[in-house]
Amino acid sequence: MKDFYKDKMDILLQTKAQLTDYIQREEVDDTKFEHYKIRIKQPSSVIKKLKKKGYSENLDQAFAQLKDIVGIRIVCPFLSDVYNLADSVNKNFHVVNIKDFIKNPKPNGYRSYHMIIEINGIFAEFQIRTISQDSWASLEHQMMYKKDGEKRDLIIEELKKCADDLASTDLNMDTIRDLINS
Amino acid sequence: MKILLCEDEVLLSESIKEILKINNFEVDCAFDGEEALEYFSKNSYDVIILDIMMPKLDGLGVLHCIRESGSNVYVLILSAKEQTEDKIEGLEKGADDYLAKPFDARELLARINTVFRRDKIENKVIKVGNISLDRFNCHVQTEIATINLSKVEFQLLEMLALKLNNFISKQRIFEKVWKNQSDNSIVDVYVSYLVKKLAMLDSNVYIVCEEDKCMLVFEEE
Repeated sequence: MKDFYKDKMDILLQTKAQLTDYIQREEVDDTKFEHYKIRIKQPSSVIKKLKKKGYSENLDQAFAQLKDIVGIRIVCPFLSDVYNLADSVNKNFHVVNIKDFIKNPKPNGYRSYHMIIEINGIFAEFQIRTISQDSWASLEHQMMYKKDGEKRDLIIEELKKCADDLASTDLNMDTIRDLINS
Repeated sequence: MKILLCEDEVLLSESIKEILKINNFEVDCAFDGEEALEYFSKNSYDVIILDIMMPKLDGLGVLHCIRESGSNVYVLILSAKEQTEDKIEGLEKGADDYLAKPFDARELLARINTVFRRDKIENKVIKVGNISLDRFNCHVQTEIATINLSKVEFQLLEMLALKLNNFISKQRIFEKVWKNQSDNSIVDVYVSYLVKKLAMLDSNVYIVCEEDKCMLVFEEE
């Protein structure tokens, strides 16, 4: 990895450490999350994504075009936790872009809250979502590879229905928590 | 659309079958009660037309077996027994409609068509404000997102949508959606679910609640 990122490696590691600090501090501040994962994008994934987007495959392009070389995914129990955490990220970082795929799901049903921040002169991505959104995303990811020609449309449609069911359940759980707390 | 015609008079059976076929219905004919039950057990029908006086097993016996099986298929009794008492007996034993012989074919058709018209209404999408309620898929949708609803949530939202901008008492909702089973505070829980779902969809219709009544509100901008 160091061979690939060269002199940028230090800044990546520093960013990763800062974000890890932040999220561990957030836990102390009582913002609930279930677990988180932080990673520096694998060189092979960087090359693949640059190729897919039609950019030349060098490091300058990677840092200019890809906003998720450092990425942190935080999984929360409840929907309101997702939005509370997003508020905290807004207060603590310089946020340059937000995509609320919870309010505006992708056509396949994918739901998650994405934020791009600028930090140490590079970009990093936050993906914040609920446990059920995360479980859907990981199942969908696994099944993507198994979608064959004939049943493809049916599978996509059924997976979307699962996502819309889970969205409904997430909102009910949030309501039930409100009931308990009220 | 598939109909089972149970009528032992061959000529009458043939002429009814002909009329139904002309009107694009698919028809099976049974000529006694046992045959009727055999057809019923092996096929799925939208409507069953049932004569009362039939050999082997009479129409009311057939009707009893159909309802005992748990089926709620639409049953129309077509019978020469034309007394009010006969009609009441047939309807009380589980028939959905009763037509006395002799009858006008146009009336028979009109009655059968009510069944299919109801199906069409029941599967229609209801639109209020920027949301649509899809009965078939049991979901609520805007241009940006779809959220699936449970059957009960759907019935509640549908009831409110059909009386847009008018209050409905929580007691009435409880009677109609929960059929008085469970505890009537359940209405408030389900209203809260829907409030959150409509908010997530950025719906421009919203639920307003007072102590004992609720309303779905839509204000044109």
